[in-house]
Amino acid sequence: MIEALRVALRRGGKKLLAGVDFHLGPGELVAVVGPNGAGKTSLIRILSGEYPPDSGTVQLDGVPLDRWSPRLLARRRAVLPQETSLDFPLSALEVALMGRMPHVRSSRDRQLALDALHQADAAHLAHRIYPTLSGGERQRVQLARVLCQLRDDSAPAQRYLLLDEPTAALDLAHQYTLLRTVRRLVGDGLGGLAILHDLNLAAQFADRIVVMAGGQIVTGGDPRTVLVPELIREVYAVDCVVTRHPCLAVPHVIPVPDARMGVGAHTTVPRTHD
Amino acid sequence: MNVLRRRVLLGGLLGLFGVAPVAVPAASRSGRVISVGGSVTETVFALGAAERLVGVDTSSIFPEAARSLPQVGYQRVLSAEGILSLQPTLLLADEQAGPASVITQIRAAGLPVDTVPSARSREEVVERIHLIGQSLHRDAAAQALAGAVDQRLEAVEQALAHQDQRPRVILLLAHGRGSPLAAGRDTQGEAMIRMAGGQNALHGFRGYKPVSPEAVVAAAPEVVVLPEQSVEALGGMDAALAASGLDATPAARHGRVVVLDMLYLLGMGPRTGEAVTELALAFHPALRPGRIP
Amino acid sequence: MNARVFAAAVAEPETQGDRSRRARWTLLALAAGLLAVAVLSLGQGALPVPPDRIVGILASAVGLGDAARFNHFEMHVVLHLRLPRLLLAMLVGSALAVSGAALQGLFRNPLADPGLVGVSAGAALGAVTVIVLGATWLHGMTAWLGIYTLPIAAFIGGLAATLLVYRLAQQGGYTPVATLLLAGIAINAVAGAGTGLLTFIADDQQLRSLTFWTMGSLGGASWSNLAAAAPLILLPMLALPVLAMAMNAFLLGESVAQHLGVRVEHIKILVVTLTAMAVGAAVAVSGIIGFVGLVVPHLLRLWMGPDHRYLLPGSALLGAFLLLLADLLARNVVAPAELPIGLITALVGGPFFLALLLRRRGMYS
Repeated sequence: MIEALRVALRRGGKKLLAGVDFHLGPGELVAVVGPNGAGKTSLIRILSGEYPPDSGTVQLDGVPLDRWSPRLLARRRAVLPQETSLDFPLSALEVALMGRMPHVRSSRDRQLALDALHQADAAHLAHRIYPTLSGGERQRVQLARVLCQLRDDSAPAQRYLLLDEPTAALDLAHQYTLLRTVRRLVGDGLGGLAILHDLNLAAQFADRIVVMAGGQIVTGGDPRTVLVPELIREVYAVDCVVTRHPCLAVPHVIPVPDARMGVGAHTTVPRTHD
Repeated sequence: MNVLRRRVLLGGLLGLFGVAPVAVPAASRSGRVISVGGSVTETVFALGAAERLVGVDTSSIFPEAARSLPQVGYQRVLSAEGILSLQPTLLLADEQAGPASVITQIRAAGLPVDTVPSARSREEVVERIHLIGQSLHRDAAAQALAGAVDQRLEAVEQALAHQDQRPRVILLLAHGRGSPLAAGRDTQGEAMIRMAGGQNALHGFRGYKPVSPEAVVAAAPEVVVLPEQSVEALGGMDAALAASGLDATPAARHGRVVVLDMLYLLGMGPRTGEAVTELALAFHPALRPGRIP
Repeated sequence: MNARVFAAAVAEPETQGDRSRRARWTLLALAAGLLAVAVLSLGQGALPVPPDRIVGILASAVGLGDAARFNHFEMHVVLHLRLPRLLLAMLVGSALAVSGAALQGLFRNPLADPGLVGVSAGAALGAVTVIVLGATWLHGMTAWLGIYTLPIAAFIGGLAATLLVYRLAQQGGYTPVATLLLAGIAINAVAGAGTGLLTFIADDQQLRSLTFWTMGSLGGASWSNLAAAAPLILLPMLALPVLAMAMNAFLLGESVAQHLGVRVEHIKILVVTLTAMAVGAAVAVSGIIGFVGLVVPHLLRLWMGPDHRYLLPGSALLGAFLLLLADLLARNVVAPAELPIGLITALVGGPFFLALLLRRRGMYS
């Protein structure tokens, strides 16, 4: 379990997180949503140990992150950043292989990297040069890298994957492929956290949705209880209708244009609660 | 065991690097000479020892015959192996020759190196000739040459004793771009000005320093001395005067700009007597050429 | 060894992909090339010494055979001029190239240069300070350190400048690369101004050694300055490759490296210090020789990829090879005079580098 207790973080005189309590357990996928500047990326930074919190503690398995060796920590949690630029001509396979860095070198590393590329639907990119790939292709290669990083058959332990807007650069098909892959790993016991902007994707894939605003956690819980029009209006200042997804037992959010914009002034707005 | 092995290895290494220099017998010293420094070479020629020269540096441009000797490069960036490859028995070098590490290497190879110090006075000019003479075992010829130079300088000195005026003079060097360098205190340039009966109008600093056109104007020199090579580098007389601020000085207004060959002007060698005479006549128009022997 | 493991081990080089196989062959070829040019370099110079006599001189130096049959100059040239110079050229070439590779990786900028973080400028300032003030204010220090004064002063200057840049660029435990580069530019300017100021108060005699020193030359090579520079160069040469994997992770950015378990701040300090050590020592004994640190790693990266496990040893070999070759030319083209080695490296390397840049541009467009 990764746990943040009363965490505060400031950078350059700016309060990024204030009094955040958060936990991520094995076998659950948590979606973090919220407007820009809500502190979502900062949450990933303190959960991964990249930034030490200014107050409060972050623990993995009850041990504060600063007491973990960076290498052992890296075997337990991986981070998929929003974007990873690279100015050097590494191949996709070489990038994926970097995921094996925290582990003891083995002759299986290459096969693990190829498997990971396959899982991330990037096997065909293996020998392409990373800087020549498109944004979406790069994101899939990075996913392969973090999957490769979390493969560890030598020691059974709970592992955690933190994804910062993983779907931002992906087309519709690959958004679903990526989240399905993560979902499957979560089914095998992985703890996953994903920052998502698409509330419907969050509703479809997450066990739990955490809503952030102004460096604080506003609410969190089952998508069906969290995604209600009042909250969405409060957090995003957007009116919407929440219906039931036509095929799935999850809520579906449909933003409604502001009446003042003059669009559909006579439209009746059905208020449907799940 | 390990320590012992290390000692043996170390001993071997020391043996490899510890070849002691073997001194060249003194009798054969002056057989094959490399001369470095324009006026050093000039002096070797003047002492009648030119046939011993096996190499010179690029600043050795006088007399003409010096130019046809093997070149060992610019006097400040000599190469140890290049010099040794000419199988010399003596390196006769101006104090300016270097780099110091190369001179050290050459000495370590067992080649005698005689360094000739720079001169900034009549006595030192004479001393340079004596030193070169000793080094080449040409003491008698050196005695005669030094005597002649000394006599000429003394004659100028005496002629100047009757002149009250000491005109303000500046001496500039230019290599093309940027501010020209002016001769300050403790330079050969200032020594030449002094010996020729002038006073250095840019006395505030040591050595050769870049000066702005404004400083040149402020110095208000009555006479300006320029090496020929600098005038060429600046693109002719008019360009030279305009570039360095000289055209606004009293010297330029009265046409008192003296241009002499660089080596002749600053070499501090056999021709320095003539050079000082020429300068003295330019500084003191009242002097009659006949008054200086 | 069971059959499957054995098969896997045999298959390994096949499946590793072109790059690492190519890299291994390249390292072998570079080592062979370095040996060849070293032999050539020992045999060629202004003073003609036939190969059999060179072998004889080397043998007599280690106590095999009679030294008396050799001309004194021949012996001295081979043992005290060419041999230390050859070794110094290799050391300096390796130091510049490996430092270039390491800094380019650390700054994630393929065109970074050791001069960029202020090492060269700081080293220059250290050396110039000693040259100008050595006879007066720093007399005690010069008397104490003897011939090591200049190398040590240059090293201290380089290290101080680099650490200062690093301190300036560090913000709350992190060192954003852009800030680091900006701080490097600032320190370069300040150190350059300091050098300029000292140049101005230097007298004529001192100016002469300044010009020689800033032009870059291996002409002053001797066993003693080789001994002064070797430890400061060899330590980083051996230590930097240990950090190769961490430096690979750096290519993906500092935070990714940290997520991969790299102690980012430790590695940065280590790389910067080791680099300052190697470049400072190299600059101290040979002056500022450009282009090697910039082009060698770039060239190798184009040829065998950016993996530091191959790039660092490859840079050491290619840097040594190229500088030795350049020095061979410098010593022989206008013998018995000599060309400044910086001139050759720039003359050969400049156009070559331009061609590479053009090709690189073509590759990405």
